[in-house]
Amino acid sequence: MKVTALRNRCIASGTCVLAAKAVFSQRESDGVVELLQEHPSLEQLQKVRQAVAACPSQVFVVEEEDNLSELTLSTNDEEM
Amino acid sequence: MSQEQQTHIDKTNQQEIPSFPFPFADHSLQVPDEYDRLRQQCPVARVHMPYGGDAFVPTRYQEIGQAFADPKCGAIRASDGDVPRLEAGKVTGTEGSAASELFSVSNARHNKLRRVIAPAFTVSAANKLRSRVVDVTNALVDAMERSGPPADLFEDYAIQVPMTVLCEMLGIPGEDEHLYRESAHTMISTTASLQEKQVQATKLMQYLAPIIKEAQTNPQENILGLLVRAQKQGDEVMTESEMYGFAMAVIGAGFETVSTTFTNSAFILLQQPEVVAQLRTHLEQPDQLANAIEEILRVTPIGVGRPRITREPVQLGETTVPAGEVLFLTTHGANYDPSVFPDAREIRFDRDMQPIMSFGRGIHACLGQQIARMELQVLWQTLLTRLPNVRLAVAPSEVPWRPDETLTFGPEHLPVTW
Repeated sequence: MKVTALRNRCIASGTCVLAAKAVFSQRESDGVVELLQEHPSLEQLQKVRQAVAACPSQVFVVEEEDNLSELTLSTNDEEM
Repeated sequence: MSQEQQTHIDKTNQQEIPSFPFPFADHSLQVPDEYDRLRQQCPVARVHMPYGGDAFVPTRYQEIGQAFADPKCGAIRASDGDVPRLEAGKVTGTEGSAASELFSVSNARHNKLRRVIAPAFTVSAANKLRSRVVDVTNALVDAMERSGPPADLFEDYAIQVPMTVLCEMLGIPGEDEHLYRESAHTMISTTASLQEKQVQATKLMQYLAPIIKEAQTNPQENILGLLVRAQKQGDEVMTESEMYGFAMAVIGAGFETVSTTFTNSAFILLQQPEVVAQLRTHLEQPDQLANAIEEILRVTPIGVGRPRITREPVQLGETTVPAGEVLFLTTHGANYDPSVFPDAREIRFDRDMQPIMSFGRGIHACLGQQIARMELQVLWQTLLTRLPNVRLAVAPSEVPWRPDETLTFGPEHLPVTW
């Protein structure tokens, strides 16, 4: 499963950190989501899914949702 | 009524248009059955608003969340005119004060502005404040014990904690609490006229002016410090009126919400001793306490909700809401949807929790939600640790209730003994 954080959508609510604190953090300067790991273990899958679902500003885009052989996270800072 | 609205009503077989807000029973925070009925029969219902005509009220989790997050469902502006609304004053929402800026700028601008003060509201910022809140709550319980029962859990406990946190986070003097309370009360009043709201907003701005001036000369590590540093970088980062808007919005939202949530949740829980006993077993382990507070937030209604206006037609479930219609979004409508929270009226600390709607969704989702969560966790933790036998000192029907004149509701005072 691939998860991309579209960071321009981020409103720094911290919801992802509550859901998966081993994977997500908030930048000190502006509270925006940052990744602590790009390839977290599959044990984090459920928590990452919760973070994706709970994000109030729909920052995360999920691809290859059914491919559970690995979990890959990335960020995208492009203007939308 | 437009043809589209007529079609909507025929299709969903809405026979009569109820008046909104749906009334709560006297001295009760039990969410009205009307939500359950509408969710089944007409999940995006037409309702009569107190002023200005009819609006739409979605009652299912899905559509409430969608409408909160959809940019086509915007905040109401002064230019929208005499829209259907709760308030007697002409304009709904936050217009009439500088706080309106945050809701009327573009989404991209909003996110940039929000990030200026976001560092004060992160999960880690909330956790750094936790030990201070533990001290404050313990000092308040000390004072309650010294005076002896009964105590007023609202005035002696619930309001003091967010007020202290607000003053320290923002960098404003605690001794002027009265002005902040009066200002917040006017901001959320449903009976004050637009002129009264503007007069109060001006009073608060004039009060803040020298404090902000001092912060500009000597910025501290607090929200005013973040704001004045941003404003110094120029109008493209933050205008002066946006800076005032933020400071006033933080005062407006900083203590009323948490104190009402805690007081209302205590009114609900203290009538269910078995639930309080369960909660007492969840106080020590941080994850368990956090989950328990999510469930408490879910079941605790604090206000009638927030309006949006459709800037384009919006498809909500099977209903097409035409452009220019007011949608009224209630968080308890979503939080009590049994398709998302089975047996929604039961408080269960072991739920496989779905995201609660209490802080809204979309770009205007509550900025202070991590601070609020932390404060509520500590408020319950300290109360039940120090006063394990805390209970209502009077019958629920004797608890003094707030007059129906603001967007929030619940007990005005909460007499407890232990």
